[in-house]
Amino acid sequence: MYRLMLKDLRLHKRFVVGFGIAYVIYLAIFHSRANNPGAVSLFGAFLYAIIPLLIFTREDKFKAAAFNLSLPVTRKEFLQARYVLGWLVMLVLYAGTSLLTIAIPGTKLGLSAIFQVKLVLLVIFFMAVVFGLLMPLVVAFGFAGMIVFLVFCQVLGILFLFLANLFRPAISAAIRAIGEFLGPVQAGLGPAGSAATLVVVLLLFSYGSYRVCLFLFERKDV
Amino acid sequence: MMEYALEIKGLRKEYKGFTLKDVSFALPRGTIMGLVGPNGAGKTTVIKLILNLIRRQAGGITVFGEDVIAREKVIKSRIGFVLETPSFVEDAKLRDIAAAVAPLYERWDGTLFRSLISEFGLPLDKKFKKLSHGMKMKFSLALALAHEADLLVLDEPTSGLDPVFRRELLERLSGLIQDEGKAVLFSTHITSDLETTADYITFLHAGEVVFSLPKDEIHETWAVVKAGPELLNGKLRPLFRAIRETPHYIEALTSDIRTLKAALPAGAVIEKASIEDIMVFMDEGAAHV
Repeated sequence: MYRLMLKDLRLHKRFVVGFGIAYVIYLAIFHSRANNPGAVSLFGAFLYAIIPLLIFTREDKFKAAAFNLSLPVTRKEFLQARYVLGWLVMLVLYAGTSLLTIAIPGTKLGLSAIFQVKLVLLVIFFMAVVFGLLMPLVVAFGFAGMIVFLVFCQVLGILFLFLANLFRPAISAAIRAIGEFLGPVQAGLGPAGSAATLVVVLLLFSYGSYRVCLFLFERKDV
Repeated sequence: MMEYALEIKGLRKEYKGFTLKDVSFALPRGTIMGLVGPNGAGKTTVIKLILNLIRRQAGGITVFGEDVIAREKVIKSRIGFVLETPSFVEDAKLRDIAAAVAPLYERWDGTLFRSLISEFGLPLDKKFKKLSHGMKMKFSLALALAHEADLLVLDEPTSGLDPVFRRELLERLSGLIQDEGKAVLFSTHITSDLETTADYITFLHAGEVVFSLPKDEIHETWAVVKAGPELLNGKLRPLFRAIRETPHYIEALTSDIRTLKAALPAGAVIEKASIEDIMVFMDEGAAHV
């Protein structure tokens, strides 16, 4: 697995370093000017999840899949390496952005604001959701799969805004109901229990995403 | 029992508008097999199935006696491959591509690779996208040859190569199988490559194996017969695989010249069929039989 990860890093090093540094600087500046650490961190999480997927879709762009899969590796190993590499890239981007945000002179977000346990877990959870949803689409449809998903998100967002204006009271009531349901559950579990639950859900979701990817990948003609 | 380098039995793969049907052949160790056929015959499909790039609907493939799916990793480490269109990450330098690939092969020979790179005149600091098709093909060959593969599976390896290098490559392949444990399967359109290099020829047409035979046997049994219209009379017709008719005479391809010889009309001319003759006849004339 390590060799496969190294292979991807070697072949895409200019893209990873160039794009990664540019994103970290851009996001750190963006974060340092924002007042709401939650909102910007979640926005950042979305972008951290996109970067490793962009690396993987380059294989699609260069039609290099046939070469990669002719190498002495199984598709299972290939996919496992991609998941691990994906998580490594996301975590490095997250850590890099957070540390740079703190270091920027005049930043509005300090160490304690950025590294709240709850926020860190939420960012990681959000990364897991985006990455876990997009990986099967990238495996099945390559770059086109990712674009379709992003367009779908945009359409969903517009639709949501439209519906929010139409049914504001009903939506507010629904959100309140969810909050009322989760509030006591969260209180019952306590901070540590809530965090542990989130981690378990995150792991289960990621494993589910991996299994779906493996199912698709092992049936894919290259 | 003879252990083949590659053995394919009853292979089937369906696409919309094309089906590879019941493909079977075996490549003995210490030999070179040419996989030949017109465009769309299924050569690349067979090679992709050997490399497990596409899923088969039926049949089996073993390499050195082991199933290519069950023992994928071990088998692929013994295969050197060249794909029809060499595709790597285009903006990576050759040096980086080699460095990325080498650790995946236990038997990677860095010294051999450097010597091949120097022999092929490849610039390691150049980006892959900057190479011509011929140079890309040479780089693929260097990667395929540098890990001491026991089986080389090459899809159109000579396309885009200049005649000098093509000849050198074919000589290298012939030299390679002096080690009796190794074998080469290569597909090509250039039939002269087969005449000089191949020990066996497998001919595919419309997704089916027309024959898979030692080259010498093909030369002994396949022939082109030229004669007047009386050639197609009576019992001779079933002995022809393909027929080409002109207003004045008939040309027909047979795979059973021994049986045919005795019954041919006077004045009939028999010529040994070259691989190209067989290809052209099968492609143009099979429908007229």
